[in-house]
Amino acid sequence: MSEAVLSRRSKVVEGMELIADIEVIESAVTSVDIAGLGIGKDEEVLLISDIISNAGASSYYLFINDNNVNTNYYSQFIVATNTSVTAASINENRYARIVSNNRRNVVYTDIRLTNSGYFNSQSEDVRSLGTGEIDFVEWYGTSIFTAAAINKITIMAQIASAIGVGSRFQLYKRAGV
Amino acid sequence: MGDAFLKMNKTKKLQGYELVAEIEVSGSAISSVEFTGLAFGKEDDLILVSDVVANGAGAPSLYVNNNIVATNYYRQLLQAAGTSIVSARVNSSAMIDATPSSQNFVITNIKLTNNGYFVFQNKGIRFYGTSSNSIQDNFTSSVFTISSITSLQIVSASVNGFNIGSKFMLYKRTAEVVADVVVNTATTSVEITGLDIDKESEYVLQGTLIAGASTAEVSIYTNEETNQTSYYQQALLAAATSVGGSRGNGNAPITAQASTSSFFKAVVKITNSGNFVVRCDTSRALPASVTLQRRYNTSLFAVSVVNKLTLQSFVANGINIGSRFQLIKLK
Repeated sequence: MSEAVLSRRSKVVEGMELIADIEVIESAVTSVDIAGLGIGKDEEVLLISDIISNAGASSYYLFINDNNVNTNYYSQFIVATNTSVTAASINENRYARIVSNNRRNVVYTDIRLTNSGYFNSQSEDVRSLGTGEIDFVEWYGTSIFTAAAINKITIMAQIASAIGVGSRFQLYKRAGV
Repeated sequence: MGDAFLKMNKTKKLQGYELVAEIEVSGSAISSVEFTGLAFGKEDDLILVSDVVANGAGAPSLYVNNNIVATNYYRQLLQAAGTSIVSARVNSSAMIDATPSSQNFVITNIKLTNNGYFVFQNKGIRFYGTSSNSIQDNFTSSVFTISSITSLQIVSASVNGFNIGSKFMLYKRTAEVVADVVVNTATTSVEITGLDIDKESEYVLQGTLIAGASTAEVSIYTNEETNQTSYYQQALLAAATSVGGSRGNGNAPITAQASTSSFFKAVVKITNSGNFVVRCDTSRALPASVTLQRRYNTSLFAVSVVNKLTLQSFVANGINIGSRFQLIKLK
């Protein structure tokens, strides 16, 4: 499992700050950790995920604070693929799904703790389907547990080694007064 | 399992937003909150983050400058709950349909169009903490025009509908505007040149498209590649009760109906493998005909740097007087 350990940083009064930038360059991995965070209820982060699949079709999950149990989260999604629009609710925090090998998804995810302490993620997942065609999915996820802060974010693939070389994850923190 | 090589850039800083004001409900539940003393014009962008712990049923609504009349606004709703998808156009400015004891989290992009309409695009989730969620997106427009935003009112549908713990945060964009083009004569295309957008960059392209006598469809091209078939597009469209999608070998993320205007906000990026990607949300108006349009475009070719963006209309002079395009550098 790959892991980025971040040094503590002084708070930035204005602007957004890049706090992690992880690229998979040696061999495919199953998960990526972004640790050493200290994201409180007043703060919001943006995760930009550029995922290349390496093991066929796979889902990708977003967990926090080592609570890597899918049934501790719920997701609602809506899919637009050509003329078809469908939706469903699932008992996991899926935030991306790649439908075939060597495909790429670009996912923008806003992450926050609500004032009540629930983890919230809103993702827009643009998927390449091969031959240039694309579709997209909106995934909105929440936790059933509460937390005082987000100290660690884990991106985990459903299938072993499904995060291929060339995948990249960038985490930005939106700071405020 | 292999190790991921970690690349850190501790000197990079992304310009974005600053917190203007926040309101947290404590003591007892309340019926409304208000942000006053504001002075935002057409060149500004706001984000409102609403964290609503519901104390009653009904949808909280967002109003501007004390124009607290629901019928002075129209919204297009797209809602997904389980396998059910609901699309509707409603004569109100509700943000999310709260139910008793629900938690509701809404991110709202707020803007004045160049022709003075108050518009907002919000993405919301309603959940209970122990079971499934629902997605609720609303694209809303006022039927009246104003010259500036001086106050915002958020009003619950039920008395004391905002329970203790509800919180509302208003942010103002502080990021750099690298281009701001106002169209003074109807034109077929607008070019933004001298750019240096690479894989590390992220830009927002937003604005008001005013159509002439014909429906305006505008492409966002990169560098000199203005061939439609060099791009693919997937769309999600909600208009009144109709929701559908479409996919095509083309590029037309921004549209406006004849003799009306649209507000659009697009994120522009080069992926790690070099594809040019545009994510565009468009609110089509006349306000009473507001629609929700979400379009994603990708290039079939790779680029390392974007030096030029071309916004090009399908029809000659389809970009009418008063249209405005802002390119904002987030990083």
